[in-house]
Amino acid sequence: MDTDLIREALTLQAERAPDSREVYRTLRLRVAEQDRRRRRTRIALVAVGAATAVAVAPFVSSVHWHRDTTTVAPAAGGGGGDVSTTELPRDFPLLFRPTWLPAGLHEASAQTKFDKSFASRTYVSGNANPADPRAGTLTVSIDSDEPLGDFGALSLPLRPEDVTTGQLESPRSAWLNWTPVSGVEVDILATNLVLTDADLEHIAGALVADDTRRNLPLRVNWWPDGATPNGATVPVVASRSATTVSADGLEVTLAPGAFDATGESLTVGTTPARLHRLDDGVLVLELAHGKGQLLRLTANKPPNPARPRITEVDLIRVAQSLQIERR
Amino acid sequence: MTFEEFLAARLDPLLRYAMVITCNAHLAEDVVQEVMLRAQRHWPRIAGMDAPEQYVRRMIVNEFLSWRRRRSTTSSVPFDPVAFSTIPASERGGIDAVDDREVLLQLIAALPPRQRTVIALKYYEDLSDGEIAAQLGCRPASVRSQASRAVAALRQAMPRALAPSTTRGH
Repeated sequence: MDTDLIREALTLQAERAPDSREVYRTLRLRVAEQDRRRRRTRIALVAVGAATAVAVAPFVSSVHWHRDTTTVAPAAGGGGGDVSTTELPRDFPLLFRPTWLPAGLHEASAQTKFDKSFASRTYVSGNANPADPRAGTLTVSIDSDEPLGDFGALSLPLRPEDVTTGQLESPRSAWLNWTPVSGVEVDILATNLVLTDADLEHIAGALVADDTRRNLPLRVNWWPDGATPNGATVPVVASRSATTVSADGLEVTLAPGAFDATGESLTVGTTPARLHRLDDGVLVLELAHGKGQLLRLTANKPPNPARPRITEVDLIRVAQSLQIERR
Repeated sequence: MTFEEFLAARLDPLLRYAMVITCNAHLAEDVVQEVMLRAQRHWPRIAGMDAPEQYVRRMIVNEFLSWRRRRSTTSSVPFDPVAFSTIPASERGGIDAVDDREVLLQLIAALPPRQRTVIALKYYEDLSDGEIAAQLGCRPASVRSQASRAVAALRQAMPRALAPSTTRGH
């Protein structure tokens, strides 16, 4: 066969390509939409960084402090008597781990979301408290449209077209977004650390599956109507950082902290407590847990405005239903 | 060169390139659109490369090959040169006057995707075995083997698919 015939045939094929003007128009629309989407993602990443920075910062100055003292008896039927139909898992899978990290970083906590395929692990620099907004922190998270299976996607090479990196000014951050396959997003966010794009790519390239499960030591046995539990964060060392279980409009956190004398003084069961009412309707109930730990229940504005707000009675009832595993 | 400039200047040749590799206009458009969207996201890095267009062409090849893997059940019906050759010339109507290139294109479209890609890179892009190997992430020996098998298949099929009297250039 004359190979010229192959060349001629392929040239004929090329002439049947779609009209580039049509494709150009479509592509420009898709590029514009992609830009909008990525701007939203970037804003969300900044928000993650900011949230990390203020996670256990002192209450903002807009808190109205009340110094009257009240004793609240346990609510009738409370005390964990009503077990929510939404059972929290007793543990959750870590799903992945980095086999390489920059020197000096230690794991602080792992996070999961119950309602989707999401896993996140946070590392801190040296002996820093991860709650300290000045601490160097590195968070690696994986978010997938589908249930996270064998993580074969993590073994794929980092193709430049699948990786985006960037730097944020405040707080000082470097981030990487990697889409190894469609529907799977790997995000790495380094805050207050001096890391290069190459460092972040090295971390992403060193991710492997990890079937280790982490125990969830905080159990919430009663939830207000509509407050479906959706995620948890568990520290590696409980005395150093926070254990959190969150639901729509409600967050329960066990964290190192001192019980101060501000807010309304209450007694929940036999436990001293303080109730803080913030300007925007946010309620915070704090209970001393001993050993330098503080239990904090925060009722935020519910995401669905049609849903009734979580009241202080709800918070007290949630507190009464709590079980904390001793380590 | 900005992404916008690259798109305006190079979209047409990239579509033609994708058409040759995929042998399907819709697939060529889909593959090029996906690749260009990814390229746009990472344009500063790609633009900084020595040969951005070559890199984008490699992305197109990779996208096509992975596309085929992801959608392996949606392959087109292959041309069957053996069945075609068994039809008596008198029953083919005007098909005796078929353009050899058309038959050959159907034969190429029926090749395994990797062989088809090698043929396209070798005879449309005029790349060397080494350059093709670099694009596909394999060894030059593997390229030679794929090309050899593809051409052998085409050589075997063409005489049986076309009547001896058929001439080129119709």
